Amino acid sequence: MGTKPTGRTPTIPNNLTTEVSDFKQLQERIVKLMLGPVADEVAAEAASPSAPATGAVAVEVRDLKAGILTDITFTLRFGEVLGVAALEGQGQQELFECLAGVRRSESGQIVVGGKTRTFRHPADAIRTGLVLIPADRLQALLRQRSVRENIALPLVNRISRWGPINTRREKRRVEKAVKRLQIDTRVQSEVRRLSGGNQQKVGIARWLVGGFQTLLCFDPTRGIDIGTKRQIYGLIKELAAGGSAVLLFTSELPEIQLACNRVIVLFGGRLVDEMPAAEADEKALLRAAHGLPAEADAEQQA
Amino acid sequence: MASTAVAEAPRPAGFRFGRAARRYGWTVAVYALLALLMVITIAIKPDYGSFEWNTLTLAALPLAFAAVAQTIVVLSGGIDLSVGPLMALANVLALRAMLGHDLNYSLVVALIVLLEVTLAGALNGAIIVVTRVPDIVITLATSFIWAGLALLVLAKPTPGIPLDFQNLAQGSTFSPWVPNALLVLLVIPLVWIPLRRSRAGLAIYAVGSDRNAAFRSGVNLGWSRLLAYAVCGFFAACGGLALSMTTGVGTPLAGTYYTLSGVSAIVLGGVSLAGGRGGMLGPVAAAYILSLIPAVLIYLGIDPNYGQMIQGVLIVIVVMIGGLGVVLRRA
Repeated sequence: MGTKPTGRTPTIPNNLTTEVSDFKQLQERIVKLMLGPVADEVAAEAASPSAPATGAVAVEVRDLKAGILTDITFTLRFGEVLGVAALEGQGQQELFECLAGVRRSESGQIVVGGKTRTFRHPADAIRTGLVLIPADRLQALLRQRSVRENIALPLVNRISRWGPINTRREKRRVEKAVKRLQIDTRVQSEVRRLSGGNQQKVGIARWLVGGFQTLLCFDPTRGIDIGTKRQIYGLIKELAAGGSAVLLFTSELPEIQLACNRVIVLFGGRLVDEMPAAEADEKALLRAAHGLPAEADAEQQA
Repeated sequence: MASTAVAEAPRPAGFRFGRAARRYGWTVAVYALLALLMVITIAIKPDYGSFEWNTLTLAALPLAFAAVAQTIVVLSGGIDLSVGPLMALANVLALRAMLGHDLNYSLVVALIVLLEVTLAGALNGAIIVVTRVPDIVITLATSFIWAGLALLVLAKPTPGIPLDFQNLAQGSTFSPWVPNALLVLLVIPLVWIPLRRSRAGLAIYAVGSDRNAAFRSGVNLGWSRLLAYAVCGFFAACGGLALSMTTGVGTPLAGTYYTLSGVSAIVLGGVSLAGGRGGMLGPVAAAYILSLIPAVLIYLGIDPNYGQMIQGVLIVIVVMIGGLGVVLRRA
C-alpha cells in the first residue's frame, strides 16, 4: 500500500498550498481521487434535494419516556428519511433502543401499523418490521461467523421458521444483497476479517434479505471511509424512495441535510425542534441541538 | 477501528487454501493423529486384525456419543456436566425395561429411553434458561440428581441386556472391517446435518459465538439454548444405549468417566470451549484417539492406568499447539 514513512517531514511546495487553500475543495479532490469515476455519481445522488414525504404513517411515537428521554412525540412516514439531530447523550440512544426492542420504555406508546406495540425483545421489533443498524457494527454481527450466516441470522427469529434452510434460495438472496451493496468479499469470509465499511454493509444487507419496513440507523457511518459512507447514504435514500421509512441519527450534522427529508432535534431528552431538510443546515441544527431558539425567532425576541 | 479507512489488502495467491486450512485444519490434524496412532499400533502389534479394530470401535462408541452430546452444548456457549449421569440413566432405564424381552420390545424401549433422556436434557436447559444461573452450576447440580435417579432405578451393576439388542452394535453384519459399532455412529450425521443446516442450528452457533449480537439480531436465546441441551440429552441417551449394547450390562455408576472424557474429546477435537466454533467430525475422531491409547499401552505391556496420564499430557500438548497456532496467526 504505497510508500513507507521515511521519518522526515515532507516538504510542501509553495504552489500547492495556494492551490488548495480552500479546504472544502481539497476535501472534494481527495474524495474524487480515492473513489475514481464513481465519485460524481454518488455525490450527485447524495446531494439531490428531498421534499417532505406524505406517505402513510410507519411509526408513531407518543409521549415516550425512557431514561433521560421525556415526552417524545413524533411520526415517521413511509417514504421519508427522518433525521435525528442531537449532541452526544441527549436521549437519542434511548430512543433508538426503545424502538428496536433492546430497551423497554417507562411510559408512552409506540404505534406501528395502527397497533400499540410492546417490544420485549429485539425479535418483537424485527417482526413488526423495525430493524436497527447500530453505530458499533459488531454489536449486532457475529464476528467469528461468515458473511452468509450473519446475513441469514435475523431470519431465525420465529420458531416456526426453525425448519431446514432452503440453501439454494438463501444463497441466491445473500449473493444478491452482497452484490447490491458491493460488499468486497466472499460470502464465506468471517465478518471480523472485513473492513469496517464492509462490516456495516453486511449489517445492512441482512435486513435487505430479511425484509423490513422501518430502518433505524443509529450513526451508521461512524468511523467509515468516505466512499462507503456515500454509498450507505445513497442506499438509505434509495430505500426511502422505494417506500421504506428511515429514522437516521448521525453524529455528523452536515450529513443530515444530505440524507433527510425532515429533521427532529433532541436536547436534554426532549424534542425541541422539527424542521424540513431545506432549513436544516449545520448552523440551524447546531443552534437547535444546543437548545437555543432558531435565529429568526431570536432576532424577533431581540 | 483504526484500519477502517484503509482499503483491503490484495489477497495473497494462497488465500483459498489458507482459509480452508484455517477452517478444517484442526479436524484434518486430528484425523492425521488418529491415522498415525493406528500406524504405530500396527507397528507394535503386527497381527492387528479385524477383532482388535472391532474392540476399538466398541470402546469408542459411548465416548463418541458423549463427546457429540457435549459438543452441541459447548457450541451454544454452555457446558453440560451431567452428560455422564444422563448416559448412566439411559443405560439403567434400558436394562430395567429390556430384561428378559426380545429385540422388537427392546427397540421400543430404546425409543422410549431416548425420549425420556432427551426430556431430561431439555429440563437441564430449561432450568438454566429460566433461573439464569450459570450452566456449570446447574448441570453440576443436576448431575447429582440424574446419578441418584440412576441408582434408584438400578442399585448395582446388573447384566441382562437382550443379546439381539447387544448385537446391533457388537456384530459385523457387512464385513469384519465394518463393525456395526461404526455404523451406529451414523446416528450422529443423521441428526446433526439437518440440524446444522436449519435455522435452529444457525441460532445455536450464533448464541455460542456472541450472545449479545445474537440477541440483537432477533435470535431467541432461551429456545436456542434449550434446544442445544435437549439435543445433548438425545445424544447422551444414545451414549447410554451404546453402553448397554457394548457391555450388555446396566451400570448406574458408568457415567462419571464419560462427562470429563467427553470434554477431553471435544477439546482434542477442536471445539472451542468459548462456544460457537467447531464441528462434529473432530470430537468423534478424538473419541477414537482417547480409546486407542489404553489399547496401545496394553499391546506395549504397560499398565493401562498410565492411559489416563497420557490422555492428560496429550490434551495439554494439543491445547498448547492450538494456542501456538493462534499466536503465530496474530504475529
